[in-house]
Amino acid sequence: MENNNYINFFLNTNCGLLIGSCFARYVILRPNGTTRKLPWRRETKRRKKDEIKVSLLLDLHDSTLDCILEKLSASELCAMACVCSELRDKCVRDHLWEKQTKKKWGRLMGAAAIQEWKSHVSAMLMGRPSCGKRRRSSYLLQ
Amino acid sequence: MENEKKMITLKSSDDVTFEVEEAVVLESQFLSHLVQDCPAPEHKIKEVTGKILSKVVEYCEKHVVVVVDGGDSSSSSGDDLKKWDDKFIKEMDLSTVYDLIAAANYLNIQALLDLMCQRVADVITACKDHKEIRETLGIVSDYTAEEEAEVLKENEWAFD
Repeated sequence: MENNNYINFFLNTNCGLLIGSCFARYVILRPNGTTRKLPWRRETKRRKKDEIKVSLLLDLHDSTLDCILEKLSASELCAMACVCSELRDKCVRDHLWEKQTKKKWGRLMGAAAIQEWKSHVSAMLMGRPSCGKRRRSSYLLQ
Repeated sequence: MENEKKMITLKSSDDVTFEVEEAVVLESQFLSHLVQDCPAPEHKIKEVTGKILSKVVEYCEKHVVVVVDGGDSSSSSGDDLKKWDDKFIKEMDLSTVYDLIAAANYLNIQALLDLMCQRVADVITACKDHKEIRETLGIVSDYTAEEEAEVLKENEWAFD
């Protein structure tokens, strides 16, 4: 009786394995013999393709990317910042906004007014750590 | 009066050769230094492929001719050049533009670099929002939903 149980157990597990492996083969192989990509595999492959696409603009030299960003208007710079975090870090750089400010207000603002504005901005940045460039780090800490 | 034109051969990374006048080569700061420093008849440019180098040569040749002829009727040739530039960039896809930007940066051709950067800027300007920019430039957002909401809020003043 004891012996019989062992044999049953052996047969059952072997049968299970056989059925299991047949099922696995069915999932991976198509009837005509070509392998079928599993959904997750397809997903990673698609993501890799996307990454290659990303590299095109973001792989440009930093100075050339700046050259492109300098040609954009203020609202376009903001739209670019919304695209992805890497572009956001590039779009908030001071020199780009200094150019925007000069373009818009340059004819009205003299050197003294610019100086005053700069001290106002730095006072604002000191008072509010969540402002400007520091915003990101403070928001990561939350 | 006609001077003997010195010819220089440029070889791309995939061994495509271009024979150009020295004046064409001088459009590129990098190549003019190279030509001055080592006066070999052939120069290999390992960083640029044949496809891109042909565009660079085409651009430089056009600009040299116009600048040389531009002595008598500068305004009309300037207009012609602008038209030619517009046509030159319009028939290009974005990946070629990126490659040309990299090449112009490497070869140090400021006018070509400016032209190509303007082309990318124009493409961005034509998009109406950040989603369209993502689609057009093929950039995948790495923001989470909350991050995106925050960055949109941060920048909403610009879209009013």
